[in-house]
Parts: sequence; structure tokens; C-alpha cells
Amino acid sequence: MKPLIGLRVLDLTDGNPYIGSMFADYGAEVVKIEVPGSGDSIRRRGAKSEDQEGIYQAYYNRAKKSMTIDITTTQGQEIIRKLVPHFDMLVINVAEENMAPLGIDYETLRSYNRKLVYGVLTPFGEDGPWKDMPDYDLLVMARSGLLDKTGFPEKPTRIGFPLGYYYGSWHLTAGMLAAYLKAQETGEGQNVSTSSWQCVMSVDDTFAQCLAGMNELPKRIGNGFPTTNPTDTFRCKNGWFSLSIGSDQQWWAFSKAAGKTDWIENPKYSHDPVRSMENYFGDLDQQLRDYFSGITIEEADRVCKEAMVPGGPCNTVNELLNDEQVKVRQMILPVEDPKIGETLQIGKPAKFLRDDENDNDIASAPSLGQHTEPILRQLLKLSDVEMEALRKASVI
Amino acid sequence: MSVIETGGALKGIKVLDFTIAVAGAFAAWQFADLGADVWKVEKYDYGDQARTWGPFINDLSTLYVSYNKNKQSIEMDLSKPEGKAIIYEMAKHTDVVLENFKSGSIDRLGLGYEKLREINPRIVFVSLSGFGGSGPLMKYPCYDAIAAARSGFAASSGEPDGAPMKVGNSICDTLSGLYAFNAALMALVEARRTGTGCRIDIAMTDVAMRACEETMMDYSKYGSTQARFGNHDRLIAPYGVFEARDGFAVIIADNEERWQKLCTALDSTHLKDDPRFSDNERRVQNRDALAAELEAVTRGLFRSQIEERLLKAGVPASGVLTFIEAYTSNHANTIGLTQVVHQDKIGSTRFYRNPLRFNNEPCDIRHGTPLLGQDTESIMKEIGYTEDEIRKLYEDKVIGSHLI
Repeated sequence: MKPLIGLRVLDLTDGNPYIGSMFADYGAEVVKIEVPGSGDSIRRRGAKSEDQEGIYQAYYNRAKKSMTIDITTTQGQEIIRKLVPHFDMLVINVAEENMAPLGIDYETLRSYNRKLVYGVLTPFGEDGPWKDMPDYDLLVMARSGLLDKTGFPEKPTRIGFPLGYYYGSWHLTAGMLAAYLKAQETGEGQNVSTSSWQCVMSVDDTFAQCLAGMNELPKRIGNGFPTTNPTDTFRCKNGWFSLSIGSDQQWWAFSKAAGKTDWIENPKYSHDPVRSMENYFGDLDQQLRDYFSGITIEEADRVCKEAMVPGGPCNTVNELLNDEQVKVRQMILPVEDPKIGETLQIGKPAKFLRDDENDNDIASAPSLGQHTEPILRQLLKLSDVEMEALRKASVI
Repeated sequence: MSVIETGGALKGIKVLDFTIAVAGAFAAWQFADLGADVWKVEKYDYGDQARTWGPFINDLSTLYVSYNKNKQSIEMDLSKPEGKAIIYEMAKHTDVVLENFKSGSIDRLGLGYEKLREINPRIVFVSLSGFGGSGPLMKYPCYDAIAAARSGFAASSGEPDGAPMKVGNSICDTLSGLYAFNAALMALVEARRTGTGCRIDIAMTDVAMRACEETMMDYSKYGSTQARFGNHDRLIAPYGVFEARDGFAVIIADNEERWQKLCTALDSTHLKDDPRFSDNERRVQNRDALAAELEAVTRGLFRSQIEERLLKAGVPASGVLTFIEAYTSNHANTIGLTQVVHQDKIGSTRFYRNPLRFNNEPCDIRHGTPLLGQDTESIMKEIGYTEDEIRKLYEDKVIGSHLI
């Protein structure tokens, strides 16, 4: 089931593909508006040189369409305005004030389409002292306190993917969907905006609360968790394994399955909060490390399954490719890309009842400007002569 | 400007919320923040298990309080047939059901999708779980850390030969709650169009797998399975986390021009001529040596100095701020990151506002987190029960208002 069939989105973002991807993955028609010549900077991610495309655009732009329109030209801006009545949504990832001189800000476009939902994602917001800071996920994470909270005590660990952009993008797409539902009811669209920074800040689930409750802040403790223990990641003979015990019952079940009766009977370890607060970071931690380093991740997994406690191997791409759960959930899918051939991509997490076979068929990413002429012809009824003139003037 | 009531984009939507703990509660609170009526169904005389998680103020869990603002709490015994009957009545008015019970539990209670859709075919029924409703792991318990481990999420961060690193918050919980929010809204869009709802099955591990996107492509095109790359980007250098005198700073020089400016700004012009760093490819190859050279300078500078100097020179940079610095920053206060609202049993307390703005208006917080069963009576009246019927149901312990 593709729930968003019929929804049309004009995607003017650059360097942040996650917004369009949420819509495109579930059936919306997402038309990227890209700079003629070089296109969205995301095409350059992983490229070997300035004038080439990297492989990642095949993933980031999947199932989308592409038009090359120069929106710095008055003719380009006029094309956007004329396209707007044919679309339900438009999205940008710069402050809206940048669009006003181009005549494609919300108020202007609203007069072309009252139901338009106009989405704006910025890194830090459209007001406040940080609003003009450069747009990088790493900067958002650095200023959110979340980078500081991640890692072992000696130094923070950079997160290996743009978490801030995910939060910001997925929040914005939800807000835009909510506004779209409203627009269908009332006939009136809205401007919907958020910043990646504010989204990351607002998913804090421990720090503000610990401050309020205990007047203390949790420390950077690697893979541990302050109040339920043991939660940690352990090196086994052949890989890394995560354990996350949430209660005394789970601890006893785990200890029994591991053959460690002392962990059940010894009053130092048998109950929380004593186990977590006083002994975990002391000798119990070392005992657990010794235990895991003597077994394989398969054995650790067997023990946790027998005890029905949360535990699992730290899978990398290698393991995921052969993982039965991943196969059943269809979370790795082949996508045939016309430019780079067969690729393996991450599947779609939301499984809608009545999903049929071809819901996991993912359309390939467009080449730069591939749909410029078909869409101009179809929606704006431009003739070949008109389009040739626009091309000569470098508008498209 | 439009006449839409601001902050109420989902006003009129009714959510029947069976969720507990974090991930599900997160999805439900997005609905609540945007103006929907979220009817949170809580276990009789016990409530959402998150109510028992410390830290506490006046016996109320501050964690629980932060996840459940703007919702309404109805306390019920779902094992009793009269309790189920109330749910069936609520289903008539409901647009979205949210649940994150163990797989199959809600069906065994007689409150699953197949039953509720008979009552209301437009209902959108979202099931959120660790591993999803299918696959060999389906029946096993899963917490945030385990979803991070199994999905490849944890393996994506950390030193190349070091431990996989999970993030300092429960990221898998909140990302999947956010994903579920999106999916529910999509299903509502479809239900409006077709008149029929659907069931949605979302696994926390599946959502977390999104983190592996680039490494999956690396494998598929280059056969590479290296998952994590430490504190420096694997494709561009310098681009990462560096030591400062009072902590750490992030520095990004992602083109030649910025690289030159960086060298000048850090009084390290000799690096420009160093053959190890002459172009991006070489800098990436030698990024450990590069980091050492840069840290020799940055280690002697305060974070604020690095930030000021580099930004002025046109090089993206920032001190790594602690949580408290971010939370109490001028920026946080100017944009209204938090709002002080009355919370029963605690008093005035600071909550995060929802980060979305509609027509540039923030979503104001209507009220704090409800006590257990605080809204039982008002919800029962709203769905059509009489005063006498309500009194009897309280007496029979089908519904409650323990207000803990």
C-alpha cells in the first residue's frame, strides 16, 4: 500500500534528502528542483571529483523526480509559481526570508494555491542568535549537548550518520502531513517550520528530567545506562554484544542461563538499586567483561534468548546481509539504478496492512533534470520552442 | 494570514492510546502537542509502567511527566468485559489507535485491529514493537540499546576497532516514535481518500536500520564492510571532533578554500605546504596525522576562541556544548525551547515545547501530564455514558481515578 499516492511535493531542498524520501518512499510524487549543471549537492556525496556524482545519490534520491530550474532567474521563479497550483506541498531547507526576494515565499505562493503546505527546515531556526550558523549536522549535534553525551568518558564520540537531520526532517514531514490533513478540511494551507537543533533538543529523555529530579546530570558513560544495569556493550570472542537488563527478574534469569549463581545469591549483585548504583561500575562490570570475552556472540545470544532478556549482537552490514529477521522484514532491498547498476538499499520500516508484493519495488533515483521537459510539457503546456528558449537562457 | 487556529493542526483528531514507556509515548505525545485528543488508557491501580521510573519529585516520576503532557488519562481494567465494552465505544469516535504491547497481546485482549475495524472501518491501528510483528525475533524482548545493536545503528559509531557506540539518549525509541507518527498521519491521509483505515506494523530495529544507508551502499558497490570511522568523516578531511583547552570543538573544512582559511586562522600555514595534506584525498588518507597537527593548536585554545576565529574566517566550526550550556543558552531562551507550565503534584515546571511551528506560531502546551485516571470521568461522559453508569463502573472497579 502506498498511502501517499496522489500527494505531490515540490522539493526545493539541497543537501538534505530525508524530507523528500519520507514522502517518496510511501508513494508521493516528489519533484526535486535542482540547479542546472550541478544539481543538489547530495549528488556529490562520495564523488571522486567535483564534476562527478557519488554512489549515494542513488539511495538518497530514490523514487523522486528531477527538474533543473534556475530559481535565481525571474523566469525560473515564474515557472515555480506556475507549478505551485499543481502541487500540494513545497519544501525548502533554508530560512524562508531567502525566498522572499525570489518571489517564492509562503505568502506569495499562497496566492497561487491557498491549500499549499509550505515546509521550512533550518539547522538552528529562523530567529535567535544562532540562526545564521552554517548548516551541518555535525554543528547541530555539537550545539545540542547530544554529541557531548555520547561516548566514553575520555572524549565524545561522533555519531556515524546525520542524526540531527533525521530528527529535523522527520518532524517536518509529520508537521506537513498534519497541515495537509487540515488543508483538506478547511481549504487553507499553512507554513510549517522547524529546526533540526530544536528537534534534537526536544527528544531529550533523561537530562532535563534528571536535572529537575536530582539536580544532577548523567555523565558520558559509553554504552551504559545510569539507572538500569547492567546495560552495556561487551567484547566477545568474535564480535560485540549488547546486554540491557531492565529488572531484577531479568538479571536472575540471565544469571541462571549463564550459570552464574553468585550473581543471583550475592547481596551485592542480586537486587537493584544496590547492583546498579554501588557495584555495577566496580567489580561486577569486570566479571561481566570476563564472562563475555570467553564466549562467542552466538552463545551470548543463546543465553539471552533462553532467559528472555534483551540482548543482541552489534551487527554490521556483514551480519545484516545474512540476518533472517532482516530478510523477513524485507529491510534490505535490491534497487536497479540506471547509472550505477544494481545496489542494495535499506527498505521501508512502516509496514501497512495490505502491503502487496510490489510495495517493496523502489523506483530508481532520477538523473539530473530528467523530468524537466515532461513535467513542463504536461503541467504548464509549454511547447518545444518555448522550452528550447528557456534552455538557451540557462533557466532550465 | 490564514484563519486556522494556530498550534491545533490536529485538533479534532482522537487517539486511543495504549502505549507505555518511551517509543509509543513519543508518538502519542506528538499527536497531543498538535492538538489531538489523546486518550491514554492506563492499567487499573497501576498505570503506565514509566510512572515507576525515577527520578521522582513528590512521588511523581519526572521522566513520566516529560513524556505525557497534553494527554488525558483514563484508568481501566481491560481484563473485564465491561472494560472492553468501553474501548469498543471509544473506538467509534477514534481516528488512530496506538499500541506497543508485546506482540499479539492486544489481539488476545479482544482489542486488536480486526475487532476494532468492525466497529469503525476508518480506524488507523499502529503497532510499535522492538522487532515487529514478524520474523524469528518477534517474540523476544527489545530495549533501545538492543535495537541499536541488532540494527547496525550502534556499529555505525565509534573508533574503527573500538566498541560500537550507542547514543547518549534513547534514540531508537524516539526515532521510531517519530516514524510511527509519520506513518499514522499517512494512513489518515489515505483513510480520508478511501474511507478505509489500516493496520501499521513498525519495528524499532527496522527504523534504526536507516543509519546503515551509506555503509550498505559501500558494501554493494565497493565490497567494503567497515562500519565505523571514529570522530572524523571518512570522505572529507578535516571534518570532525578535535580537542580544545576546555573540552572539544567540531571543525569542518570541506573544500580547498576552507582548508586554506583554516590553516591561516589557526596560525598553521605550514600545513598548506605539507604534501600529506595537499588535497582532500590525501587529507582523508592521513587524517589521523592531520588531526594530531590540528589538535596541537586547538588544544591550547578555548572552544569559544576556536569557534569565533574559524567562523569569522568562513570555516564552519563550533564548540561541543554540554547539555546544560545548550539548554540554558540565549538561543534556547530566545526561540522558546521550553515553557513553564503547571504540573499537578509538582507545581510549575519546565517542559520542552514541540519543535514544530505552524504559521510561525509555536504549539503552546495546553496542560501538564495527567495523574492516573484524572480524565476518566470526562472521557466517559464525552463518549456517552450517564452519571449512573459511570458511578457503577467505578464501584465495580472497571474504571478508576487513583490520581497517583
